[in-house]
Amino acid sequence: MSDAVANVLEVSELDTSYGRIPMLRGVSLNVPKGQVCCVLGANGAGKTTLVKAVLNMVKADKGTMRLEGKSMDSWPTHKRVESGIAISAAAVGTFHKMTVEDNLKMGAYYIDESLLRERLVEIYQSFPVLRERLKQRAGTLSGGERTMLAIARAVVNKPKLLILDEPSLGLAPIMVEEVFEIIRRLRATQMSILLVEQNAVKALSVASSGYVIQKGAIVFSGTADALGKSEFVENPVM
Amino acid sequence: MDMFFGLAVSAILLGCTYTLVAIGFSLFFGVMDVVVFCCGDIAIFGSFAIMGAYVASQSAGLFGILPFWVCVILLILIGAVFCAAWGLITHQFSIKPFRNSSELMPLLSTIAMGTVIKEVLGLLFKPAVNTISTAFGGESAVTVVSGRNPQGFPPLLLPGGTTNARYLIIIAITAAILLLLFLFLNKTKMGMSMQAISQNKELSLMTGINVSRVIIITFLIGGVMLAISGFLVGSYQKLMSFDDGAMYGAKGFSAAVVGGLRNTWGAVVGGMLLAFVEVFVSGYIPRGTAYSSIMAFVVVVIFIVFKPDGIIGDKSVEKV
Repeated sequence: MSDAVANVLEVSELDTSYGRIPMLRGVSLNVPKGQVCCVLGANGAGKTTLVKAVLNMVKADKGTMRLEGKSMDSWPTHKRVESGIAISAAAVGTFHKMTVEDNLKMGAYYIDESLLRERLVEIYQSFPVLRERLKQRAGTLSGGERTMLAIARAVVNKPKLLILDEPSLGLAPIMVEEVFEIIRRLRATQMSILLVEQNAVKALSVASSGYVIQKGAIVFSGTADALGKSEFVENPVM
Repeated sequence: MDMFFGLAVSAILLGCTYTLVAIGFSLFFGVMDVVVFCCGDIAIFGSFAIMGAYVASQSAGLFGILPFWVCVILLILIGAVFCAAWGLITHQFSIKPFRNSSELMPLLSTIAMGTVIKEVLGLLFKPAVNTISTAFGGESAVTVVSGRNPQGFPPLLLPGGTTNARYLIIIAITAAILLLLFLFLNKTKMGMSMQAISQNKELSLMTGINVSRVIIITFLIGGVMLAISGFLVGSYQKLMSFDDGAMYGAKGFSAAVVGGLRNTWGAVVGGMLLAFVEVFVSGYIPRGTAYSSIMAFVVVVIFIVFKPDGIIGDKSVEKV
């Protein structure tokens, strides 16, 4: 198998800036097919910028990105989503005035009605909390339920690449446990996942490879084991 | 009691015309987070376009060839095309270029666009100009614009029917449009996308909605709605002046604010409330006509002070 097919996502030498302030500098990263790859970093290290650049919500100044070997540099955001990248970002929230069901349907923007119904049945099996709340407005959900909804919304599409941006953000420890249980279940279905987290210990418990990002640059890359033994995780002040 | 019912009907009629303009405001605000201040002018442009098309088609003898109601629908369609075009022009030239600048910029630029629309109409339907001679006689040095040269709106709505029947049709058309809009917003993918963008723009991008396409379609639909509201305003008022847009814009915007910007039903409630206040003030308060608009704006001020979210405002602030 060639390298291009072994990786779902390949980012190389990515530069972005916010106005005139450089944000990411020469970021290169690969997400292997069917595995969980984590990106660890402190607040403001550039994790979310990286995620948004992958979706072209932040313009890349330089660098190339490939999805399953195909260059996607010229694709606008909606084309990248249509081509199989789904993102669940806890900080972005939900469509708060829509019902839980409509939120899920919005996630399935590109699949047709009959397929959607099948997918929703699967979703309700893996997220029983949501089935009880189908007709409820998303804005009335608890923090944990909202995170579940955000993840469910992203996986309705059965994406080629699932990006989870800080799924544990602001959750009680017991909910964090539940979220990572879901990530484990998704991993078991061979879904390729890019997990962006601050919680290094939890992230490494599900990931097989990882990166550390500091001040907009990748400072470590390697297997999860190597990352776990590195100074970045042992010394929690990153 | 008769007077009460009479006033109530007038209020509902006036409310219908405000409501459609207000919905224009809240549709645009929903997808762009920008108050498009030229909604009223676009609507009035629509009624002038219908007027112009009427004159043209009459001289072309179109009314002799086609049945009357087909002609009327054609005229409304012409108005709709013009307004949709203005909607698009407004978006392309006075909103899109300011995407990344301060939110005050599109505010000013849409007011400017409204002035452009108004002046274009003013050029086409020239106000009467009187000249006065100077104290020294001879050539006049000063020109004075006298009167706004109001134009008669053609009797397109049930010309043979009674006034009451005509009023009933205005209300029915408004109700039909509201129903269509409701179905569109809640049952179609495009409508749901508009709601999604209004609620969470970032998430809309992330779910793969083609946001710029939805915005353009919103401006087209908003333009069509404004054209129909222009038609109804014309049929109701009978006399139209090129600068009516400013007042309709102000009333429509006020209705949208009172109801709660972003909320389509709020626009309906707000428009009706404003119209009822206006009509009843002029009906029951002696010489109230002079104060009716003032009272309507007082209501707006009261809402801004005590309930800035509007009647059906967005109360659920998302917890993080």
